[in-house]
Amino acid sequence: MPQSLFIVKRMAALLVAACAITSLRAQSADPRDAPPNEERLLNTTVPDIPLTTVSGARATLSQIAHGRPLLLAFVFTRCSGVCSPFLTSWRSADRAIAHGRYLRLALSFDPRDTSTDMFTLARHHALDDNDDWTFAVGDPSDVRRLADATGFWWAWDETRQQFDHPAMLAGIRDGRLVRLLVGGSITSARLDELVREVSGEFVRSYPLPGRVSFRCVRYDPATGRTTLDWGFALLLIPIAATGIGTLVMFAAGARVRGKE
Amino acid sequence: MASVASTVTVPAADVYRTRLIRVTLVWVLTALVLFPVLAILGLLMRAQQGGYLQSTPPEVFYAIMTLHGLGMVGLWFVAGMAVISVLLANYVKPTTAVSWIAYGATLAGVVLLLAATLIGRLGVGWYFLYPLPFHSGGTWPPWATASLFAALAIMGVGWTVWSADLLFAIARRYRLSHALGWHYLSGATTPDVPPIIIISTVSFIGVLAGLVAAVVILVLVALEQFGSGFTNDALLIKNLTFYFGHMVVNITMYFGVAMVYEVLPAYTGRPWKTNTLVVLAWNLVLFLVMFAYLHHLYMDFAQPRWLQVTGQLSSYLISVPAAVVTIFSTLVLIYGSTMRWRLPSVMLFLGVMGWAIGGVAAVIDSTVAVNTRFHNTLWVPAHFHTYFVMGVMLMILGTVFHLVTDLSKVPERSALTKTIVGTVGLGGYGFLLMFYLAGVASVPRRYAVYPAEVAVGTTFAKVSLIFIAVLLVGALVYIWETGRRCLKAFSS
Repeated sequence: MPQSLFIVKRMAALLVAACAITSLRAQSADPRDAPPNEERLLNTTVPDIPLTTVSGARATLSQIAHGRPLLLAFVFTRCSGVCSPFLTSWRSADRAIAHGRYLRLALSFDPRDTSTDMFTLARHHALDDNDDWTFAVGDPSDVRRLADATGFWWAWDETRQQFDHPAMLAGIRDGRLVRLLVGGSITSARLDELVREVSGEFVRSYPLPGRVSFRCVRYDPATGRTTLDWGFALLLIPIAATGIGTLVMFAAGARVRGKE
Repeated sequence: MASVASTVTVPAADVYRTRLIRVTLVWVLTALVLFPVLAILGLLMRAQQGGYLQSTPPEVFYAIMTLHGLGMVGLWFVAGMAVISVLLANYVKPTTAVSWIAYGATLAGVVLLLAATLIGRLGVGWYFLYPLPFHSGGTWPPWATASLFAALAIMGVGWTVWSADLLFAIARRYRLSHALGWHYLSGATTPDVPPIIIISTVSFIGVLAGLVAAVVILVLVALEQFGSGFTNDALLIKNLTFYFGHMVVNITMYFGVAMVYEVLPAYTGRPWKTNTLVVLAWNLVLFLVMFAYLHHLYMDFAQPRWLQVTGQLSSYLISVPAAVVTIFSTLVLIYGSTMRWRLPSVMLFLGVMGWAIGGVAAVIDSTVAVNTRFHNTLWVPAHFHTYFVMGVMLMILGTVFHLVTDLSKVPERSALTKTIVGTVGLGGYGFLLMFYLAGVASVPRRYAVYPAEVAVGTTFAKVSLIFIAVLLVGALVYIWETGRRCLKAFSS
């Protein structure tokens, strides 16, 4: 009926307006301020790019992984910021957990890096003779494709003569992105979750604050409590809109009866 | 010799009724064509699970599963709407043009769905749970997802207008309090409101709520895809999706039940009058149906516990007013009556029986502790196929046969009635039994091929093929008998 449709349209318009405001707010922020958006990337097919390892061998990502799950980090050897502490943190957390059957890959995104540079980096972290760890370089365009598929980004900072970039681990299984772990410091607990997830186990997760609009519930990992969020109100729209629409329709029906 | 031309004035009411019957017959004929096609898709799925068609890639299985699921849910919903509207025309006056608009929208939607699934190989299942449609992993192209949502939008608009028109038709004759039968609660018996009006009012309000939920889903998804500013909350979309999906399926059941209330008295010789119990039952249904969908989210650990409890309570409670009252009343209506056991009455009775059996299985599955074990097993398709195939489908088909026999004046043949009832009963329950047994054996649902751990699922699927074939024979005999009556009624 026109009346009910009118109400539905008004509700939809309000929803659109609310979403548009949210979108504008999200778009106005510098994307580099936020970590990669995992929700948009999960299950994405990761390009099977060719790489050159520190031993000089040429092999694709899948050949290097050899059927194993893969944890991938983008680094560059001239990094004076997060790269080295990040690798140290990863190595420490890795030693603290029991899982072993997965590949750790550190890939340079800096076109200036050579396999020799990456070998030096591996040796600096005492990982040069560890078969579970691979340090590699790739063709810049291939590395860019892989970075895009995993949400990794970098930007040259002229002032600091450094690349600005996030520190993150991408969990890949069977050529698809399974989970991202973002942050310069990796705890063994979080790495354990990532490894279990990438090994095919179901691991509970919750989205980062501010990423998802109209969330149904909010989970507090500190307390383990779940509380209702504003998105839950959208569940009431069908009941409210139909209730109002029904009343309007029967009021219009009464007018028709009155005229007859 | 001069000829004399005579003009016959046809009463407006007759013209209206003829138009309404014509559009209803078009709906019925379309349903009779689509039903066996969709059923054969189901047969193909069970064949693949039974170890046949091994060269068929799994993504084809999932595309067929999507078409079969969405097709059957949509088919019986529109068939229910069409039949209900012609039954309602005994009391109120729905708009025939709106029914045609809904028909056009449904056809357009069907074409888009066929393209998305058969050409695009869209394999998202009938519930198209976010974000799966947008993460095909290369299995289906983006246009297939766009086709799915376009189909849902077009059909959604058509069905919303149709439901609103039917509800408005009731509103033009009854006050809301009368349409919901509230005056019976205070002891009044006038105006006399037949049960079909009360059940239809409840059903159309429910349908509209479900369709509004679909609108919210479409808006949120469109904003994410075109606005690129935010990501949707998967849990919110899942809540909305099952609010919509469960509502549509649930209300289709209630259409069938409304038909039982309206048509069965013609065979028992006793009227089925509205009383306090019927009013209380269906008003409670209107309240509880808004929350029953929550049992679809038991597996979502982030869903607050009180919502899970609400889901279990409403699923339990809703079976009392709708099912128990109707089943009990049906038995009371038949017991001691001079019942004429014809094809429509047998199908309506078997439909109520199927509803009861499927309902018990559903209540078992809606128990959180049980659902933890059963949720992803074939027990779930077992129970929803029970109340769909052996429940609402029989109710609608029985009513259709009642209508077309009445319109065509083609007498019913006893031998064919026995053939239809025998084959549909044996084939239907045999096919369902294989689902139930597989569910108890923890055979997972939605598997194209069973791994070694649940290889017993292959045997159950193989046996079910025999029963499906028997069911199809019965269905085809029914379709032949009903189809020719439809065509005769249409031409006259």
